[in-house]
Amino acid sequence: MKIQIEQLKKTIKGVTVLDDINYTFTGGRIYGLSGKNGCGKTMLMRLIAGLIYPTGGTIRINDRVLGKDMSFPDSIGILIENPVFLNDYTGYENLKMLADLQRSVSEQEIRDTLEQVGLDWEDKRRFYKYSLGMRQRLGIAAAIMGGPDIILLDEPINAIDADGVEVIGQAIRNLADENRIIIIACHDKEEMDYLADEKIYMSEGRIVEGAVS
Amino acid sequence: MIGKFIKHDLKEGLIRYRARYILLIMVCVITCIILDRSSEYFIKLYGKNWSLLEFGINNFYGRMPFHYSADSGDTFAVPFGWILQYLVLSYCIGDYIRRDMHGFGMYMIVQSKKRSYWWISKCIWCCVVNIVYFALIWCVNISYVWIAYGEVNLEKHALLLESCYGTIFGNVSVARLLIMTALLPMLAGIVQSLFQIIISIIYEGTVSMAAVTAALVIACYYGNPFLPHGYAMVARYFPDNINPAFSPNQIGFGIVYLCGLSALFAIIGYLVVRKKDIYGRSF
Repeated sequence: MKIQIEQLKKTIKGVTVLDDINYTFTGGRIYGLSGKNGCGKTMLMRLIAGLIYPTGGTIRINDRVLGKDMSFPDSIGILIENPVFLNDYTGYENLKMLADLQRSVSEQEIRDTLEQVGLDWEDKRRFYKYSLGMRQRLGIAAAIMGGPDIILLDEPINAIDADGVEVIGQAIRNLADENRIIIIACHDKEEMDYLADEKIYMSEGRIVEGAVS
Repeated sequence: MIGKFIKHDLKEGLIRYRARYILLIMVCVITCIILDRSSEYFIKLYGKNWSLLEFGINNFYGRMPFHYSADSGDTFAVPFGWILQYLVLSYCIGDYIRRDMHGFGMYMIVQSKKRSYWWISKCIWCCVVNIVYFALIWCVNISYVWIAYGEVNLEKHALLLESCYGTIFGNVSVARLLIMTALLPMLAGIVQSLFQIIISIIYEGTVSMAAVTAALVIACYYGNPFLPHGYAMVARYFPDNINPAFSPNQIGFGIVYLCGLSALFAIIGYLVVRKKDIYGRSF
């Protein structure tokens, strides 16, 4: 698994939000994106997810150009911005709905994923009754369900208590054992040190070479 | 897989918004009461009650295009009953598409990798919403006629209609009147809803509702045959006594035109969702 980003540029309403991004992500590693608010971390994730189109440059996933050879990466899980699910469904039902679209995820895998992030799959509470932390955990569960090749997590430990951080950190580390690319955007330096194999610092829409985050 | 998308849209975009349809019921009931009360004199004079068909005509009568004449000194007035029905439709469509695009729909698009399924499902949802919406108008009319007069029929009372609307309905068959009051208003509703959805995807919900309101007012004012809402007004299928230059709309052309316009909007929407950086504008 390899993601090659070449001369990536993104301009929105005349403002350059990403400029001249060149980077190669390889499988089996966890990448930590850091930088001040508005530096372009989330935008980079959205581009890799195929949700938005670059103004210039290319993103190649296993040598196939995103947006040209494929609309979205073949196997991807995302948690970008606040997790939004169906209010009247339980956590399990929400994941089941998404799993049915993937077809390759079994009911047992959904249960296991929920347990991995510290949620009870038998919990009958509907999503609108979930606390912020539970919503975040469900968002992570949706992103890692089915073990996708690319996992993008934007601020995954937001609103999660100390115990939860431990549980989720372990779940993410377990996933990294396989041939998979995990990219995490995170503000917490300690968490970044614990989770990331490689740290990338961004500033004003660019990757800052050799910077220590 | 597309079935999952449709099921999701019907649940989240129709059943979830069901309270909004109460507004439509209120508008329809008030429209029925107004017709009943304002025509009391003629009902007594001719000894005939309004039929279900005539309540439908009342819903979608609309108005003739505005024709300024210095002699008459007429001012432009919007047909409130008619316009309200389409504004409430616009409210029922609301900002669901945009909310879904940035909410659970985003996960569905990424997981299925099919923007096209998402859009096709939205088109089907849009048609279903319109069918339900216009069926509800007729259900309210049926209920009102049944409660008020004890019998429901599709009779046409030409004299009663002429006295109230000033339009000669004598030569027009019941079948044609049903097409004018049931099919064409619904097709115009589908066109309006698709237009609204596309604008809301490109810009935002409030812009789309403002655009729909403007389109409705323009259609009330002008009699151009390419304005889709003109086909949702029964008045436009008849000659205008004040303005002999006005050429009435044709039912056949209206059906073809509105179906074609719906298909065109569906294709435009598909291209917008597929090619345009729809997420890029809003982030």
